[in-house]
Amino acid sequence: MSVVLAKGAEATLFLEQWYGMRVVRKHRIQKRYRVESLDKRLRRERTIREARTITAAKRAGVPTPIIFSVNVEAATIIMEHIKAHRLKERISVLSSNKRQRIFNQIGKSVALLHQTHICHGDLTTSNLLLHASGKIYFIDFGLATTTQSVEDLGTDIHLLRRALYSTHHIFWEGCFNAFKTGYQNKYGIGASRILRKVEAIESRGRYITERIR
Amino acid sequence: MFVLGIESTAHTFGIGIVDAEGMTLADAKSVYSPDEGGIHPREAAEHHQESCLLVLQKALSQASISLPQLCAVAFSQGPGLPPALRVGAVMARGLAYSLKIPLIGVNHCLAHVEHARYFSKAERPLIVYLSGGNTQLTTLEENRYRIFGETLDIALGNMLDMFGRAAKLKHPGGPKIEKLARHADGTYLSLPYTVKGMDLAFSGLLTAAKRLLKEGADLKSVCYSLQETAFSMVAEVVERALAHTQRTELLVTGGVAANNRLREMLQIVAQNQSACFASVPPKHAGDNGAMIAYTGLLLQRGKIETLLSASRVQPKWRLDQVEIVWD
Ligand SMILES: Nc1ncnc2c1ncn2[C@@H]1O[C@H](COP(=O)(O)OP(=O)(O)O)[C@@H](O)[C@H]1O
Ligand SMILES: [Mg+2]
Repeated sequence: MSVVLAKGAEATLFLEQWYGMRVVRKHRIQKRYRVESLDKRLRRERTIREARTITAAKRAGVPTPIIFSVNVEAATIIMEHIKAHRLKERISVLSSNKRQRIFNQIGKSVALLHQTHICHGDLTTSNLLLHASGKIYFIDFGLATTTQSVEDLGTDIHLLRRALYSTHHIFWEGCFNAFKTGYQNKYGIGASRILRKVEAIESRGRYITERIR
Repeated sequence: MFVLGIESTAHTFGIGIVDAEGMTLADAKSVYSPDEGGIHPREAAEHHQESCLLVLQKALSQASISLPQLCAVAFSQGPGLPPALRVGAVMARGLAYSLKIPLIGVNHCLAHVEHARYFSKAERPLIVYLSGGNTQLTTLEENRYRIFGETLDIALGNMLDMFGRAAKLKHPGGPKIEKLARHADGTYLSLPYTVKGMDLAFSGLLTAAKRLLKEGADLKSVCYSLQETAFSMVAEVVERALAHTQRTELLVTGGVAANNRLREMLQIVAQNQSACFASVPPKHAGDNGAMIAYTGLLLQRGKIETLLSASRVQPKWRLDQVEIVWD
């Protein structure tokens, strides 16, 4: 038995039985638009990176699916099925209190990731799952990197902030403030340096004129 | 009732004229092309000053109208190179003042986006805007274009042009790189690939491609590999943005949208995500005055005009700062 659970940007996700368990098989599918060698390289790299980082994140205390099996050549990962909705779909029906609590928790989790030098690389509400227990699961670690650079960690948060602003512009600010509080409380000393970097990235003009040579 | 639009943000000095329905009646331009090296803002401005009257005459004769028939003058107020922008602004103020008609400052990025929508008839597309100075993924949502992804360093078109210069190709390098790539034998040389969520970075790729050239790699193969890498990055973030926003239309605009290989890739991405694909007609892809005139018309319909005292150029004006009064 295998049914398509979701079609993401990179992967197709199947719901399957595996040794008597209900699991998710994430298959990074071949992309016809790019040359084969590049396609292969990216799918392998990201499969490895995702499997490794999800496990490291879990060890750091961030809720993530358990990884059961990885096939690098086939670019597939078999992982625990989290019975949850994408936060993107739930965010607007939550009470404002609950939203705040959730984003506070997300801030704490991202602080835990950053303290272990994990940069998620694609923090959007499509990659956060809201479990009935209220827990937020982090998924989709294919773009994650191991880094201590303030610029990288700042960019990670900047991406979340922009995703909130563009996707959920009605209440993005409350969410982001709650996120910052959670992040700051958990990260402690050093958090303000990273959050200042977020501001700096934000205020950089994106219209970059050509260099004069 | 005709609206005249002036474009002068970078290389192109253009004047376009549209009628009350938005149809282009004139699209005249003169493009500054540096003998060597990149764009020099002051030289670009000098070029624009020297050519502006000729371009105006050309536009009026293309449209077969005379100045008193104009009902508004629009100009690109930003973003762009300040000295170049000022030439267009000065001309627009002069025309508006002497003809006693409204002056309308237009955001250059908005003009690319709106003009593309006009041609495509798409309802609520995800728009990919790729040019020499900008690389953005955006959708219109409640009175504002929201940016979902953009470049973290240099723009895609700028990266191609800078590589073109390193390869001693005449400006603009983009079309020449496309041609060389088309005649390559298909050997893909591995290059750095940088995407961060829905954002991109091109400077690492540029540096590595230039290094390959220095090491004596075949120019055609480097062009091919550079395009394949850069456009795959764009295709990937576009696919991610489509999946995230769940939009069912994809629209590509900006100068780089004229590239056939890029359009081909984005077409496949649209198919993957079950979205319709549209692209701005190649002849309207680059900077032009017609898109400024067209956007000026939209603003005029929305009763928006720019007072002389507020008509200073805005070199860093972002697309998401403009309030949209139409949909
Ligand atoms: N372990 C899981 N349990 C339940 N649903 C999942 C799981 N992993 C992914 N999903 C669902 O599949 C979607 C796409 O997965 P994701 O890993 O983000 O792939 P992509 O890289 O293609 O975006 C998610 O938004 C989520 O709805
Ligand atoms: Mg995802």
